[in-house]
Amino acid sequence: MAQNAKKTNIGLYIAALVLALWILFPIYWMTNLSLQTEKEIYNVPPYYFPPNANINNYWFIFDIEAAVKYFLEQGMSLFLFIPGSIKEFPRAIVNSVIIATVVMGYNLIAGMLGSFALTRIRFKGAMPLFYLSIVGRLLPPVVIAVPYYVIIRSIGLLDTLLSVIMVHIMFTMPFTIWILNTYLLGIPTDIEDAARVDGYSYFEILRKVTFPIIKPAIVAIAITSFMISYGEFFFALLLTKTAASRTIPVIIGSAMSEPRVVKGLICAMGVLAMLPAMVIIIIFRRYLIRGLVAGAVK
Amino acid sequence: MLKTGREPRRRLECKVASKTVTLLICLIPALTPLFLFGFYPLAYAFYLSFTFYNLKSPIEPYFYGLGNYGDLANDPVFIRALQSTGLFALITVPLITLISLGQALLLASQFKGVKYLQVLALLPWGIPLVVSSSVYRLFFDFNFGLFNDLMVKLGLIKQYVSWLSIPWPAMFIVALAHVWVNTPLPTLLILAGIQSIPKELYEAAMIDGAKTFSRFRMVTWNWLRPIMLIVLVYSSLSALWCFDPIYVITAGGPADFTKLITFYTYEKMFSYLNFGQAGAITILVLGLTGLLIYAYFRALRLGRVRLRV
Repeated sequence: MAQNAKKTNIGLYIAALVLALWILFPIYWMTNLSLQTEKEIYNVPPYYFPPNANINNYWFIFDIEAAVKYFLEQGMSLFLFIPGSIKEFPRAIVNSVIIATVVMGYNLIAGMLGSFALTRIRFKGAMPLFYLSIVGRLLPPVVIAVPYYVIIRSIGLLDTLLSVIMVHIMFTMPFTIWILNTYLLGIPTDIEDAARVDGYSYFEILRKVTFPIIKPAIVAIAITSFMISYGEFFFALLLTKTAASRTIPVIIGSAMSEPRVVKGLICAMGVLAMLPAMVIIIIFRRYLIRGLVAGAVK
Repeated sequence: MLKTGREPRRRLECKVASKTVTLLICLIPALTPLFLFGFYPLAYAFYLSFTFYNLKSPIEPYFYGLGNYGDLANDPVFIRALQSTGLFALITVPLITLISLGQALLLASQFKGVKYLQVLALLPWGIPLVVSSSVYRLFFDFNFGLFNDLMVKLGLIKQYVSWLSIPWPAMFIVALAHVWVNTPLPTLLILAGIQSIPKELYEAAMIDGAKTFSRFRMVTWNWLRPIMLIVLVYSSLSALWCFDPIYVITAGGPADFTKLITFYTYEKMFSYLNFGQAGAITILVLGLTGLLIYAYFRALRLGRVRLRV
C-alpha cells in the first residue's frame, strides 16, 4: 500500500514537471532570445542559453536611433530592417494602460450595479436580460467587428482610444456580469433582507452590506477585464491606424508579421508585454482562483 | 379619514417608483454598451449583408438582395475557409478538452507545491495572444528555429525544413499556439467541478471496491459530464474566433490552408474593402454560433451538476 502511494506520488511529480515545462518553456525561450544579439539569434544551432547575456535590445526599444546606428555598425542592415512602428512602442504602452484602465473602471462600477440589480432586485425580465448578456459574450468578435467598423468609420471615430474602449467594454461586460452573478447567487441574502427591513435603500445595501462580501469577486473581475483588454489584438488592429491609438499587441503583431525584421527587439517587446500580466496573476492569485472558481459550479 | 386612507397607497407608489429608478440606474450603465456596441452592430450587419457595399468599386451602395450570399457560395476561397475552420476545430477541440481535463485532475490532487502549479497554469491566459503566437513562430522558424535543431539532433530529419510553408505542419503550429492560450479557463472550470464533488461519492465507491480507474469513470466522469460538454462547446466556439495566431504565424498561408473564417473575413473587409460580403459572412458565422449556443444552453440543463448562471 505504501509503495503504491509512493509510485502515484512520483507519477504526479512527473506530470507536474511536464505541465510546468509546457507553460514555462515558451516564456523562457522568448526571454532567452531577447537577451541575445541579432547575430546570436541567427546562429545555427540556436543557443539554449544567451552566450553573452545583455539587455541592449531593451534599450533599443526606447532609443531607435541608437539601434539603427548599432545595426549599421554591425553591417546587418542589408537583410534586416527595423519596422518603423517600433518607434511607437513607448506611446503604445501609455495607450494600452489608458484603455485597459478605463475598461476596468467601467466594468467595476457598471458590472457591480448591473449584477446587483439582476440578482437582488426582483423584477420581470431579469432572466432574459441575463441570458442576453451571456449571448453577448458568445458572439464571435468578427460578427461585431465588421458592422462596428463601418459604424465607427461613418461617425469619424476611427483611430481614437474611445472606439477601442467602447468595444472592449462591450465584450468584457458579459463576463463580468456572469462572474458577479454566480458569486452573488452563492451568498445568502439574509443580511441584506434584514437591512431592507431596517429601511435601508438599495444603494445603501449595496454599499454597506453587499460590497464588502463580494470583494474577492470584484478583484477577480477587475483583473480579468484589465487583462482581456490589455491583450486584445483583433479590434485594436482594425480600429487603430496611427501612433495616437495603437496598443502594445498591435505594435508587436504587425512587427512580427513582417518578414526579416530584427527578432531581438520584438522578443524584448514581448517580454515587456507579458510582464504585467504575470506580475498581476502572481500577486492576486488567491483572488483570481477563488473569484473565478467559487460559485461557478454548484 | 380620506387622508389616512390615501397615505399608504401613495407611499407604495413612491416605493414602486423608487424601485424602478434604482433598477434603471443600475442596469443602464451595464447594458448600454451591450446593446449599443453589440446588438446594434449586429442588426447593422443584416443590413450590410443585403447591400452591395464595396469601397473599391465606383458603384454606390445599393440593395443587393441575396447577391452577397450567392457570391460567397461561388467563392472557392470561402469554401476552403469553411473547411479549414472545421479542420481546425477538429484538431483543437479534442486537444483543449483532453489537456484541460488532465491539468485539472493534476491540479486537484494533493501534493507539495500544487498551489504554485495552479498559479502557473493560469499564466498563458494572461499573456497577450500575439506574444505567445510570436514565440511559436520563432520556435518553428526555418533558419534558427529550435524545432528544426531538435529534429536534426534526434535524427528525424536530415536538413532544416520550412515547416510554416507546408500546409499540415502550419495548421498544427497555429493549433498549438491556440491550444496553449485556450486551456487555462477550461482547466479552471473543470477544477471547480472536481472540487465540488462530494467526498461521500468516493467513499461509497471505495467501499464497493472500485479501483482507481473505475472510480474515475463512475464518479468523476459522471459528475463532470455537463461541464465537459460546456468545455467542448466553448472550445469549438473559440475555433471560430481564432485570429491572432494566424495573423502572426502564417497570415493564412500556405495556399490559403490556414485561412480560417475570421481571417478570411478580415481580408474581405480590409484588403478587398467589400463590406457587403463581409457582412454576409458575419451573418453566416452568427448562424453557426447560434447553433453552438443552443447546444451550450442545452448543456447547462444537463445532469446533476447545474452551472449556476
